Amino acid sequence: MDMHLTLENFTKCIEDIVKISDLLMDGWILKEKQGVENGKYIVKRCTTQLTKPDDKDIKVLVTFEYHIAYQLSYGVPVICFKVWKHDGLLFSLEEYWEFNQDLKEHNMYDTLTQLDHPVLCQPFLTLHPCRTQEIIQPFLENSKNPVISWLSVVGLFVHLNLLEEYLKNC
Amino acid sequence: MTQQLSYVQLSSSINPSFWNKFTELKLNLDKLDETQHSIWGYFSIILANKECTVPVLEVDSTSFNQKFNGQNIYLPFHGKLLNKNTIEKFKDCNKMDIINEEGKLLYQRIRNGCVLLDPSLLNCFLVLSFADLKKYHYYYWFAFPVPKDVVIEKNYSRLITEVFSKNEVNGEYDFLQGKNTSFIAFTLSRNGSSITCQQSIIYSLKLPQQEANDIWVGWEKNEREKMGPRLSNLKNTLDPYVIAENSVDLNLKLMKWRVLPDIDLEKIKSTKCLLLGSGTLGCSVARALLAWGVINITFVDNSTVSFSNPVRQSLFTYLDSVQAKPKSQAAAENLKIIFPGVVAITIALGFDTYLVMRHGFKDKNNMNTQSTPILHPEGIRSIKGTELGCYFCNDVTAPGNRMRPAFYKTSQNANNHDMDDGNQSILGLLPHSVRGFLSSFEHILPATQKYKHCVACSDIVLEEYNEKGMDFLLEVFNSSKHLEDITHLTEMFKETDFGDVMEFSDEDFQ
Repeated sequence: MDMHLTLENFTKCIEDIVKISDLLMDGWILKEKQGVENGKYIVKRCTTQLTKPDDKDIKVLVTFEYHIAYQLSYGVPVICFKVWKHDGLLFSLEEYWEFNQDLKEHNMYDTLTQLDHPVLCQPFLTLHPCRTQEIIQPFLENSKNPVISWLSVVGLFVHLNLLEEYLKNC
Repeated sequence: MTQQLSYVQLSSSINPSFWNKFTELKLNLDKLDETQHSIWGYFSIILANKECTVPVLEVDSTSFNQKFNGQNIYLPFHGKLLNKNTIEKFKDCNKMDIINEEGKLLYQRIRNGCVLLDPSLLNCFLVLSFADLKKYHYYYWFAFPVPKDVVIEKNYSRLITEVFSKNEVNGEYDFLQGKNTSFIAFTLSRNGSSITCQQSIIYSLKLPQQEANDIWVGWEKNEREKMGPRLSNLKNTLDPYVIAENSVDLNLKLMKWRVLPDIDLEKIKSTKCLLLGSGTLGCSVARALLAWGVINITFVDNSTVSFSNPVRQSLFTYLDSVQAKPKSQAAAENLKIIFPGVVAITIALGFDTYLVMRHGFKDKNNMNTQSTPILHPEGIRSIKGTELGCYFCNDVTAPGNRMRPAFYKTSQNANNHDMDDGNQSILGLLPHSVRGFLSSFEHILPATQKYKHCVACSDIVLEEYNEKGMDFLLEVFNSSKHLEDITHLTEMFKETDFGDVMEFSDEDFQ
């Protein structure tokens, strides 16, 4: 039988992430929308430089805002994000795709789509949750924190690097 | 050989939420004021990853908070947002003066010891902006003021680990206590998961002997590396429907702020309007309502769009008549397509004459009491606002060879109007009606009295409606004679030959 990550378990995982993050000053914060079943999610902002894979001279300084929330209908965690240039202009899905080196051989719309944030219900760029169950399945039994384990696999595709310290806790 | 130190400028980074919050503040609080806002900037205390070597100062929606409540990974920067209302003011204001003034303030704070109590005051910045809220264009220019021509010679600089042992450096950051050092540029960076200050640099510097400096520099370069403002164009990231809605709101707000500060726009917006008839009047009234921000309009009409309609009835097109669409449906559909624009005040267009007029105001409190007579100069008669006639009262005297009214708009005023005093309203002279005659190139401003047999505004009709309400309306809908019967017009018609005054409706031609 398929196991899956319960909302309770998810909430514990993200609370643990914030605890580790606080020690490391890594910037993850826990947010909660009142009156919503899956109201708890975590957010982190970070600034980085993106380089076009086919033209290394084109560099652009951007800020990412990552959200990790629980998607009730799929029963899995979701990573979604916004990314903007420093004049405040958001990247569209296509613009971001231009800078993504690691997903190039995949079909864009199969992997990355603009979906509503599971809690905020605003459009975010989202790693599509339909394959998440497949990825997270093996971690459910063996990892102390399946959300961290899953992030360590998929974060890379959306420029999210996890510090080693997190991996020691899963 | 000594080296000179040079400034490294911060790079500004704006969170999209910053402009959202600012727009909200501008629309709801500042309005037409060019209020200066204190804002917070966020500077990460930990050097970002290795690819990103530029020091970045962020602003977001929480920058407008009174208290700094950023995460502990950010250092506070004290900023000032100076917004200009026009692009000209934004361009023309003296950028040198602005930054010099800020610089002087900073210098003062250094001299009077304020910065010793709160060192974060040293971290200051300015944002000069112009927000074109109709286009969602935000022009902005950051400045990080520093004194000009201050020369600091560098004797030497060393990595911190050359002066202190690695063990000391990786300790609890108290290794500096009791040591005689020159200057330290304290830098935190990541080493694996942990944070280290190994990138910090110790300088031995020769400071200048210099008194107050009145010239300050530090305006940020734009993306083309030129001295000039940057532009955030958020228009393409917004839903055009939302932009349309907001633009209409903004137009009305500007009118409110500039001319009619007492108008309650929310009340208008939430008002639901039922329009009986979607003809010339119905169409035009609907457009006028839309322009004033009414968004709930219901049309009632039993006919279809005919070929003669579109030229006069502003909500229909030729295509609607080809498809013989029901008028109410076509009007509603087209209203959704239209962007509300001009507020026109026109009423009846004849062949070479026209008439523009407004309704009298019904004073509910004095409905039955005898109105007090107004004193008026000899040869001139005054009419009280409550006694003014409506369009239908004056129907008989409406422009000759008139086809149909092209637009009819009422303007209600809460005050009584004495026409002959040259009534002044907030928008200027407020005549009862304006009649124009093209043939003689003439304009007159007559005021006409209420007609006691009027089918629209006479007391008989109003009382009947007050009393019976919907039943009365049904009677009127069911019989075109009903209004004329109760106002005794039918009797009068019998006495007079009104054949000459009869008008054709375009339905009569079909």
